[in-house]
Amino acid sequence: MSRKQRLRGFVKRLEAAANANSLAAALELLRTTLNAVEDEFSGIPNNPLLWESDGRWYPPQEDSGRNVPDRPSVRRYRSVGHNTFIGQNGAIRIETLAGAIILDKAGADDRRAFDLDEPRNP
Amino acid sequence: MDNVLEQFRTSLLASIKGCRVDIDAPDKEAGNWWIDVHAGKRRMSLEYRPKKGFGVFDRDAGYGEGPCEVYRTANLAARRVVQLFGAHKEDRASLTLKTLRELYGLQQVEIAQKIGVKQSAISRSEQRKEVKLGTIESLVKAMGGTVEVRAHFPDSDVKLLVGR
Repeated sequence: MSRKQRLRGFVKRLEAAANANSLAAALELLRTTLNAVEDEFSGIPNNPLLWESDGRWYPPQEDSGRNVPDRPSVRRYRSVGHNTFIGQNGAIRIETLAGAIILDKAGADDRRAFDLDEPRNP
Repeated sequence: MDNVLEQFRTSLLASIKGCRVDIDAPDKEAGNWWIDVHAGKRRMSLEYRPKKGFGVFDRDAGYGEGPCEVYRTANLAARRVVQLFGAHKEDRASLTLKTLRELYGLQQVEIAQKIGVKQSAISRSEQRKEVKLGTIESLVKAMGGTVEVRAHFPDSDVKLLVGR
């Protein structure tokens, strides 16, 4: 399976999953979904402590987390080609480094990551 | 930003004409730093882990994939980035014996003297598509390194003893 197909499979499963209700639940959803895709399609054992590439894709780790300026309700997790934004409400937004949106999934309260720190409509 | 990262950035700015180096800092200094190097239309992202070094990635690395090369010093990592920015597209995928030797600033004749062969033999080994494991071991040893062969299976990861 090509990398594009693996990414598409990962995103499709995330879209189909129930919305998470917290940052921790969203991280767990990313972890279980990506691990399921990789177990199925990569054929490479899960070794998250390894830094050097074994060809498998790994979910965001806390060490790669950052605060987002002007968005106190959102954390950003950087990887080589993507930024994954996770809201305190469980929303998940994945962008390429160039800013193309790959996934923009709402949290359990139906709000998306970048809606969280915007003023609500009256 | 720690001194190692600053040294890396300074080396790149001095070595790659017109390059820009953006630092994506973590919340805590001990976290994972990302370095985005831009020069002309090309861009490369590296990861820096203070206790481990600099990770260089395959240009097609997927979501959350790790680096394919790790360098423990800023100087070596910067030299590798300079190499990659100067390389043709087809040569950017992985390190060859030739690029590894050049990365360590060694001449073919130096390697030849250490092994006790002619410089032309080193040149031929670097150009061959298939090289014996013993030749690779000799060349890497002459550069100051060691070689190990590993086999990966879905349920195991083992060091393989071959040719002994």
